[in-house]
Amino acid sequence: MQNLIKGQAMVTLKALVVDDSGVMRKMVMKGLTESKLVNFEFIEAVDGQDALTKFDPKEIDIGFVDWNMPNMTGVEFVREIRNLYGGGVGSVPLVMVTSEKTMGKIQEALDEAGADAFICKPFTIEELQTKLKKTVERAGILRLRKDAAEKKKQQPSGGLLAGLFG
Amino acid sequence: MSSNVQGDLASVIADAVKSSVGVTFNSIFGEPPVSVASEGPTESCARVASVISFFGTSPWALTLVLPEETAVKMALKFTGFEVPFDCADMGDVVGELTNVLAGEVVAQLNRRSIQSQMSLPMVARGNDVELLKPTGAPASHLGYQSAQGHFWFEICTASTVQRLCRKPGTAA
Repeated sequence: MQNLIKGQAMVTLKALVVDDSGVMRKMVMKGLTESKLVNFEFIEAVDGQDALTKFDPKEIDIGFVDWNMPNMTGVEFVREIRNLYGGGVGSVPLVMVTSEKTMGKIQEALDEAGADAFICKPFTIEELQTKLKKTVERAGILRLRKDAAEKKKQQPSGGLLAGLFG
Repeated sequence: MSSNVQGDLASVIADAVKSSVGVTFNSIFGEPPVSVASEGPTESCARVASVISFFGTSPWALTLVLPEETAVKMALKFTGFEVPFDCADMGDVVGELTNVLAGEVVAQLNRRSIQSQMSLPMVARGNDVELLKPTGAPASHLGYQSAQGHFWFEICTASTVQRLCRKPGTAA
């Protein structure tokens, strides 16, 4: 397995896989594992609503989201996450994995809702590797930053007492 | 919509489906299936059928029908793992296969300025499963043979007033 983030130990990313089809979730997880981009740990959700309850930006590193699902569609989920937690480079990358492939739908997901990448079904391992490299890399960097911030929090603060016992 | 326009639309849809079947099956199974002339199923067998409805310029529906043997072989090739015909995952596989194909059909129709949105797939399994079509609605049958076995599609188009589905609470 290659290390996407130079000078760092292999990162394990917690990936939220959202699809109403159990078989498709298995296929996405199998494809991502076989892509060997990084190590993945998976959390599954059956639709957008289920994914909303399972999404914690401190825990989840990247999301793979189907479009057409009952209760809440994938694009509604992405929009909701961006409304709740904001978008931009510091946000959890969200990847649409869908059979939708018109330019209008791709633009809606990427430009309007705030998804970071778009994978059309059916996909190959090679496609996952090429199309997801940068997004997974970004998720890895964010994970390292989150871990570093967490570590810093757990260390004793460098205040007056630290000086006394230092 | 006049019957002529409706007829033209039905042939554009059929062309888009044929082309999408080639593209999608080639990408999933490694080769496109061969179109075979047939009027429909002749033998009685266990089948799985997946229906997707389309809304937009005109409502229409696409049904993929796989006999048991074809379904099992296609599921293995599509997912990379064995999926028995009677297990719940088989419904997911055939629904997803139709969904992927429908995405390509929508994209192809979109390029021909026909706007379509697709529904979620609905899957039924059993002996001699068939989709009930509205009386008089134009329908066509597309038969195929592939390395995984034979299968077919039913396309049903309808005018906007002829709706493919009954509205809840109204007479059939």
